[in-house]
Amino acid sequence: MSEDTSPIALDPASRLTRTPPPAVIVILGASGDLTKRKLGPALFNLALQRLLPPETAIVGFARTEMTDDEFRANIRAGIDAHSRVEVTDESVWEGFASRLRYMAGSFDDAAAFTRLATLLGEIDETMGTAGNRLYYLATAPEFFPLIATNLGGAGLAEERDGRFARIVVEKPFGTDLASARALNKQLGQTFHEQQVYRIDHYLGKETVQNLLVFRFGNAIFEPIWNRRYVDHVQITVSEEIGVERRGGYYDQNGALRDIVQNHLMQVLAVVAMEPPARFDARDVRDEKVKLLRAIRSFDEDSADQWALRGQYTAGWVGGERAPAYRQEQGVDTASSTETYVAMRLEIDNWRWAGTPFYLRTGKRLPRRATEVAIRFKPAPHLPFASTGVESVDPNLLVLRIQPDEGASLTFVAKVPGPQIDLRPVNMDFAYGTSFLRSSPDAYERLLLDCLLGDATLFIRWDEVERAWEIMDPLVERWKHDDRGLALYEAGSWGPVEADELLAREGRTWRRL
Amino acid sequence: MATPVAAPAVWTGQRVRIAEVAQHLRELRAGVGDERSSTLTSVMNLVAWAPDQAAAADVEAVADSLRDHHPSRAIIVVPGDGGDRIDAKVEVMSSVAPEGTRTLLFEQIILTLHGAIAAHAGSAVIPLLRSELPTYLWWPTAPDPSSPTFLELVRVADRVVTETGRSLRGREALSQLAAATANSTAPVTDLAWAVLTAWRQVLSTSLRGEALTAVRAGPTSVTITCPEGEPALESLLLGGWLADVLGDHVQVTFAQAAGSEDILGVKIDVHGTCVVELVRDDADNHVTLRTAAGGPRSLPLPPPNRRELLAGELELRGHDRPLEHALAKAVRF
Repeated sequence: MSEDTSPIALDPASRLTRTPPPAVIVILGASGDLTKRKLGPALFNLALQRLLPPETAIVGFARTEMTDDEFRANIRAGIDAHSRVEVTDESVWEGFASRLRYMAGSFDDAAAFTRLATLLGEIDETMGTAGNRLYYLATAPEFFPLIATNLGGAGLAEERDGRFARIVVEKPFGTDLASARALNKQLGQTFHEQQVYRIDHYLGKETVQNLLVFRFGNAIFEPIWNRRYVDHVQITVSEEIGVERRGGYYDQNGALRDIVQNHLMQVLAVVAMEPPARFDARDVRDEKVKLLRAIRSFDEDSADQWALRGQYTAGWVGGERAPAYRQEQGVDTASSTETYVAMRLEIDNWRWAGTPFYLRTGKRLPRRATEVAIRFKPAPHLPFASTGVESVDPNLLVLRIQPDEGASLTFVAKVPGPQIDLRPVNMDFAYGTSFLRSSPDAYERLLLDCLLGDATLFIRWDEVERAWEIMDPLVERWKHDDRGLALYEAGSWGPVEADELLAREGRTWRRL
Repeated sequence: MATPVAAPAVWTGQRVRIAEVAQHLRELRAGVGDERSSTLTSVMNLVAWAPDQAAAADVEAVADSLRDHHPSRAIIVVPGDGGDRIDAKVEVMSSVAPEGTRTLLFEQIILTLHGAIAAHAGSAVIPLLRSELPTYLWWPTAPDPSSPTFLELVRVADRVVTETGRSLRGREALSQLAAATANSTAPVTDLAWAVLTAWRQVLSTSLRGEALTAVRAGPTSVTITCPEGEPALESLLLGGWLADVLGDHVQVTFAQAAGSEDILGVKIDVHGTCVVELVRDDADNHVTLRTAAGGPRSLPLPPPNRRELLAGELELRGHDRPLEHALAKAVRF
């Protein structure tokens, strides 16, 4: 974002809160779960913190027939159930609710979008939203092109006279490289790239942003952040839940598309990229793309050797029985969709050549945890041979993204006493104990950034394309792979084949 | 020694989900402390198994007494007798550190697993562990590879501490411990081995120089004196250890005498001549040492203290090779 378009251009060096200009936020697919669980609470919390200008209006648009009051009641129910901050002052809610409107319409009905344009014009007049628009597509991805086209047809995509019109789309951005390109082309027929905000909510998490601060704000880590000191990196997204109510969606996509191609690749990019010159949309995303370009793409051999997919069978998680994936609601009883993926990636650049990055994600694993674990190389020589110390665990840096957000560095220390006994100990930083203020939800940060026009934490098209280029051969290979899925028991840490993948190089997965 | 600041913050629940337990632990932790900065002082996850509710209080007391030496997130698992459900008690305790500037927080969770859940205890425990810390399992009875609960909890542990002698005796205890050590995914140790540390210490300092050379050259016999009946696990392990460190030629025998302790004395002869003899004196917690060079000398041999033995075993992370070697020799007796 250039200085002259900054909302605090008058004094950009100050610590004044960034407040966006007035706008209408149009949620397309407003009767769905995302609106109730995430968008409604996020917008309310932004309003509560006075991070939204008082003129802001929110319009829900979906096929479901609903009055304004019913829409408000839905949003309120979502806030009561899912907001990180409770409604303690009803007058604040009343003020927020008065700016909520709803319009029923079908995404394929061009006339409905014309009516929407009329409504938005009225809101500009009555609420002072100044012609600014933010369209949040909280719908299934197959509706994205249709909605974009109809928004354009109704004149709602135009930016002129300093007014903005931005469109936010959620992953998945396609199901392979070809479909992603097609989707992007369709969006591009109506919206310019700078109007498109591709959201990956992982990038909105404080702890992912803290990865950048950790790396580039602390001079002691950067000199050892390379192949000379790092033995390998493990990035894990582990979920204890199954597919919940998303069985139908999940069964069409699987773990590779749901987690690896987007969340894991984004976290990997942030962990491994070169330092950006500035923390802004262009420089940060340029560096991520450079890193993604350096990742070696899969081919048929490497897909077989260094990637595997699994699916859970029945088991126990969190002291409760868990059904097999194929018994989950909405899932094909003969499904071959993967619920677990593990892979080894190599980055062909000076910093990381020869340092493996192991990625894994799975459902119905023993616990929910997302983390980056950097295992450093062992000490080259141990002068403790005469003391009975056989070996020393190499240093480990763990960056916990969720839950228990924080970081810990493990090193060995001498156990107090006359002998040389060594034990790993931790230097631990926990957000919860270091900062008493709770972190904003990822959607709060990302919605605010979008209104501010700051795309740093959104995914640029070339990032999406490159991530698919890396994964596409794997998708293709798995389509024709007759070896079947590696099965794992719900509540285990994944298939034994995943352990073997690391054991081949004398390594083990971290137990979380 | 840390001084408690206030009564522990406690939450209890019946028929709970593990996610609720974790949530309440987070909330209690956030709410405890005072104006001093609070420091969570764990160096390990300590998972402890209590075979029944009566044993739970005992296990809890020992775990609690370890706090200063090994601050941990303690998770005590107790089997319940109801239908499938989980009951839980979460406690967060705060104490002022000795230097008086920080509040230290300690966490303890008691999970009562009813019905089939006990056989899947690992699935209930794992979400409550601090992932960056090593996990120790204290199994205060004999290891039981036929118990799904034991296998489940071993699965989550980096090291296992058993107390085989509390439920089994003699060679049965030894073979059970040897089997567990050989088959476990995590290194196993036993408090019976910890008891021997004092004996091993005295023997190691007494046997040196020419005496040690003579003993290793042989022919050497070792006589371990035990109370009447089958030798206890401690006696067998001591014999195994001596056979390992002195050599395979050593003849180990077990003699009987009147007494109440598991080991009453040790005598090492070469060519029929006594090189070292230790005789326990029950009355004042000492042993009398006689060597070829002289004696007698009275040396202190304090009675085993369960808390201290456990604390000692929790200091080691990996395999205890001397124990493993001693077991390998002892099973041949």
